Amino acid sequence: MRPFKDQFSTGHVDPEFGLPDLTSKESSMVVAILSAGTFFGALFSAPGADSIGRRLSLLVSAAVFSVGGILQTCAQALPMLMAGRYVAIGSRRWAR
Amino acid sequence: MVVSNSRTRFLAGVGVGAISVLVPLYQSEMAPRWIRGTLVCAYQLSITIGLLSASIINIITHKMEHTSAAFRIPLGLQLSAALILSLGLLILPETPRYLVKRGRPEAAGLALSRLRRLDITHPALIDELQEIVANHEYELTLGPDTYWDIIRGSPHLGRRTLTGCVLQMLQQLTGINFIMYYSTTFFRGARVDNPYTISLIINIINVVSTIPGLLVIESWGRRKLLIVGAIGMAVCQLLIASFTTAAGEDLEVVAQTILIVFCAIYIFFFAASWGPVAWVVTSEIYPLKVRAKAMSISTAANWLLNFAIAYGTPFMVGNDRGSANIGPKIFFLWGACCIVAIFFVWCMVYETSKISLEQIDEMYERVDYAWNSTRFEPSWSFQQILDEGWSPSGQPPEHELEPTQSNSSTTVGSTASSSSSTTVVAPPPAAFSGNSNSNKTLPHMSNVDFSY
Repeated sequence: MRPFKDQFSTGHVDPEFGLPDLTSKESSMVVAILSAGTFFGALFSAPGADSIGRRLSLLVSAAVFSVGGILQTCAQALPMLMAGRYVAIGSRRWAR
Repeated sequence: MVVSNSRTRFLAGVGVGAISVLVPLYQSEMAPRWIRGTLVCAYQLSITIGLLSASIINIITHKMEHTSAAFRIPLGLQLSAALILSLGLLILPETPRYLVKRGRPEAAGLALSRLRRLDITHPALIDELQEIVANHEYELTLGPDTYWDIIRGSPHLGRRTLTGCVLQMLQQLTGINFIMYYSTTFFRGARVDNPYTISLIINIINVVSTIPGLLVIESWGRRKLLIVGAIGMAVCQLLIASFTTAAGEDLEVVAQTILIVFCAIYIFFFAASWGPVAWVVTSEIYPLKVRAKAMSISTAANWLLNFAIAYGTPFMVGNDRGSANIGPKIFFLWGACCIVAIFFVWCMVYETSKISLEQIDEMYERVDYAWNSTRFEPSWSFQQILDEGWSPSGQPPEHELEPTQSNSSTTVGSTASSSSSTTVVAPPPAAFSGNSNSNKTLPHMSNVDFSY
């Protein structure tokens, strides 16, 4: 059995870089935070869908996602340039 | 860094979580019944195409390793998906069923008329709308629409909520995400080391395999597709488990390649069945009054398990301190969950293909066991149930299928504040019998005073 990092960080951090990596605890936290977000997002979508409608709720959700995405793009820029760290987006975590 | 990153990820996650409830909800409420399952499957197809695009974009951008473009471009491009969704929604109408729920049948009629491309006075459209309105009023006579009612409400709302939640949890417990991560180990054993190539291969399999599910969901039905998919996944998981456990850690390249093939077959079965169909079933089985609430809870159950598996599995398979170190034997666990899933579908999941969302409510009232649901023939007319006022527990009147011969005015939507009166002069029955996909006999529509 190979260590935890070998199996679960593949595809998220390119080992060729040889740069400081997120610790496994940190990267689990980053993943956990997204899942926590989706959980609460799913849970709180019902009041909106019943009060302002399915269509408007979808538009609001897309806006919330976009704000998060824009902030993500900007928030990672500075640490990236300073520390040279590389964080690939964990898009495969969304695989269902 | 992690903290600020986490906040933005949380925010993006809230958006994704809400969208994952609202898109199947919107699709199932606006779709005609004969294509409803296929449309919700197309939602899953779009997700897999999105994942594939992400892995392609990563391949293109990861070479820009010394500039921030390497991650800014992928992060920025995800906004284009939100933009496409928003632009589409600006054009599309609200779902007719939501408008009926809010007591606005006129707006519902307009929305339905746009969605079906039928004139608002078309008999098929009027019939569909009246049935939605009558069904909703009938469901409200059985109890209110609070969160408490999705557990205790009638008919069988607790069972339906349980079905949706457990189905979504089982979708995660089939081990899809684990296979997605773990297959990279097998790829490396087979000397395919580039993580971007591995991700690309897996995502291509994922997209291509979703298409067969999309094609057979209506003809096979939900139950058959879920059961066949769970059997296929169980076989793959148990084979992988036996193989890795028996062979130990020193697998040859050939052996690793065989494992990759099993992973690929597993992903095929998942993407063609449980991947899309769990979303289809949870978007269909609830009555209108609690649909959003019950769907949001069952989807939250999916995300909860998604989180638990992504977070907890490393500690189960790892061999560092504090881990359970069960290693590849965890494939036995996923295989066992797939077998549980087969029995769960057989016992709990009703066949919801080919009938309208309103007829699904009728089915839950009249069919006691899920395995009998494939033989269900819808026969109630919720309009007549309300008009003739028989009690919910009673038997429907014998003459229910006979067309209404009188010119009596059918009043629906009594909750509507304003009521407009439209006199419909129907064409001869032959003129529209070809257009109508209803299997109920349409009442004669001459001079029906359609007030709503």
